[in-house]
Amino acid sequence: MKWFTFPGGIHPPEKKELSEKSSIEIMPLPDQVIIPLHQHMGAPAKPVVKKGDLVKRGTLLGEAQGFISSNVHSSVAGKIKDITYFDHSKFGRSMGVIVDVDKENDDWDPQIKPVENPDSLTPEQIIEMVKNAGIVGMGGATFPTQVKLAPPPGKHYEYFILNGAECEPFLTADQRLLIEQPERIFKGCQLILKACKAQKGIVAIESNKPEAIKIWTKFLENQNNFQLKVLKTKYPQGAEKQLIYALLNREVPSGGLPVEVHALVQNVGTAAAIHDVVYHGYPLVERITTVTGAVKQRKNLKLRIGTLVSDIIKYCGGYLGEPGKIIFGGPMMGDSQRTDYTPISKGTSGIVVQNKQQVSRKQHLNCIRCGKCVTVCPMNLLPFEIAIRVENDYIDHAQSLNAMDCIECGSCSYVCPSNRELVQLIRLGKNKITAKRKRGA
Amino acid sequence: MPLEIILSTSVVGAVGLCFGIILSIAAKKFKVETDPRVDKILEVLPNANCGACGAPGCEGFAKGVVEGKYPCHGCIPGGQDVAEKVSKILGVKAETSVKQIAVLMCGGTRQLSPDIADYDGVNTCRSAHLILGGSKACVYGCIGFGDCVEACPFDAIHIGKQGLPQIDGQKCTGCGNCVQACPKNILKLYPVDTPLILACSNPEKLKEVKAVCKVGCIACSLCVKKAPPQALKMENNLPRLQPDAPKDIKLYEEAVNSCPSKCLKLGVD
Repeated sequence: MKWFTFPGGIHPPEKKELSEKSSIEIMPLPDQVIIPLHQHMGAPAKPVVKKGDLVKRGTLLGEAQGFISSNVHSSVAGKIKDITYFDHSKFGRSMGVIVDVDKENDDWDPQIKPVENPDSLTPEQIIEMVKNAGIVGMGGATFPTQVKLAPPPGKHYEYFILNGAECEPFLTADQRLLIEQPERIFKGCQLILKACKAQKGIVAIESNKPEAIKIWTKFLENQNNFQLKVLKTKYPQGAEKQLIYALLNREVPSGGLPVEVHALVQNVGTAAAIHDVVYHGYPLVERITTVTGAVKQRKNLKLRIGTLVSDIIKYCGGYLGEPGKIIFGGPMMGDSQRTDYTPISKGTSGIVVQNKQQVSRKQHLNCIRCGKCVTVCPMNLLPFEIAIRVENDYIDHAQSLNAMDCIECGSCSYVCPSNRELVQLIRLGKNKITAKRKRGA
Repeated sequence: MPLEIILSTSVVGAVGLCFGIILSIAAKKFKVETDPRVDKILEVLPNANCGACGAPGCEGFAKGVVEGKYPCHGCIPGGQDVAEKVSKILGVKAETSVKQIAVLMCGGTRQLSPDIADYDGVNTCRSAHLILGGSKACVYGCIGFGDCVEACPFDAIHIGKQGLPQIDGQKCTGCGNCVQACPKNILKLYPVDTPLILACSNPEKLKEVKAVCKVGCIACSLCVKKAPPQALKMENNLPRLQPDAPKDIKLYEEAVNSCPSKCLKLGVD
């Protein structure tokens, strides 16, 4: 079978063997959850409940503000203790709803009812349901799905790609979902295909998941609108632009969106969430997260949104050694946390723990112009050149070297023999460019 | 004297003379007329090229002010002094402007608001701020890597022993470069006659603030009651001095002394 891929990229140790064999487990309800009101790209949701209110599972807590935003629902039944600031895993200090969990009556909100004919819905109806359910891209970028599903006027989709690459080391949540619930995902895929009005669907899985490939080859045998394509195991194979290039040989223009090359990419978890809302009416209140690294039992857990990391680690038997770093997401692109009193949100695909011995601190040396970062950069940029300019505050130069096209995958920092903080500097440069644009200079 | 020396000296001298004559003719013939006022204004400007006026450097400002693009008091670092000189050159009446200086709205030193995590990355405030707001317990507070120090063209800011930037009121001209450089937005420009400064920017409430900083504003609003009526108002859990508040420092002494977390200060210095 031909393996599809893109030029550049790296192959870090996969470490998936730590958790890939453990099937999805449902974690018992915690005593308290903190549900962030900002779990998506764009504006935070506005709270529609107040302190002391009783909520059910699936009750609306926050309403989307503006076009790029998303609704937030309660993941548990219980009483609202407070609406206050907390440590968010991605956006720092922000607002969240603290709910004391009522473990006895874990019922869905009575307003949630499945639709009568899920197979006869129009694309617009599906998109409306996705919007109300607060579904966002669950691979980690958390872009509101309804915005992606409806192409802007004058544009259209040809292909829908189901992203089952999961190229980040350590993470196995999507892999387990592909193996255990192919029907649920496939029904979700059919809905997405209908909603975005694309003609063809592609299921893309990396070659390091033979079990999932076997199941899906069999599953897609009699489907003429869907096709399975196997990707070469490489990082960042699951990045949207790289995936489109690998499968369709189309390049997304600089600063543009995938819709310009008529492709829509959705994560496996997103497809499953879309299935749930259309067939059962359930809003997005739980997700599969891999808990791995320096923890006693590595698991793939089905978690309620808002469950605190400290509770999750306790359920997994505690830390292995003294914790040194807790990363939300994968080790390459994830965010390391300030504290373990942090809840998971819609985009938390994994929790990777490193202990004190595993956290490496290297001395940062000067660039020797070896060009390794240039050969691995999946966006064909010159990371060392951009980083040097950012270091010396030549922001305009960095911008002319297309710093804004960087996807922050971290491949350049990974290969650098001088341990330079390349991706960190580029990210800093991007932030400075945006700040400058905002000032209008 | 050997012939070689005489010969080489005279040849070089003659060539130099020739070029000198050509250059002086060219200078007369291709002369570009400039407004003499531009040079005069350039002389009185601080020539720090800080960009606070909005023009690209002092020369840009001098040209712009002659063309009427910028007001006479447009040079912020120059202040009243330069504004008067510029207006004299242009023959217009000087407008009055109050000098502004930068003030740090945070009092959380390393001892009072310690780090709760370990930051290993690019040593700039903005880079640390991008990762969940940095490693300091209070995410609204000063990180102390000194982006403002780098941005200051007048050498008016230095990081003090306790990890917070110290602003030299004499050297600070109010150009605002540090205000733009600060990723936390806790450096602000205040007129020098501002009677009361709040050294905290944490918008959270008592319990959360106490957990992260010993000198954080806990939104008790005691100062609002002790200050002259209508002078202070609580906005976003922080007392804010109203624009029409009286400017006499003595009126605020009681409010400052009443503050339980000692985050109010009298005067900008």
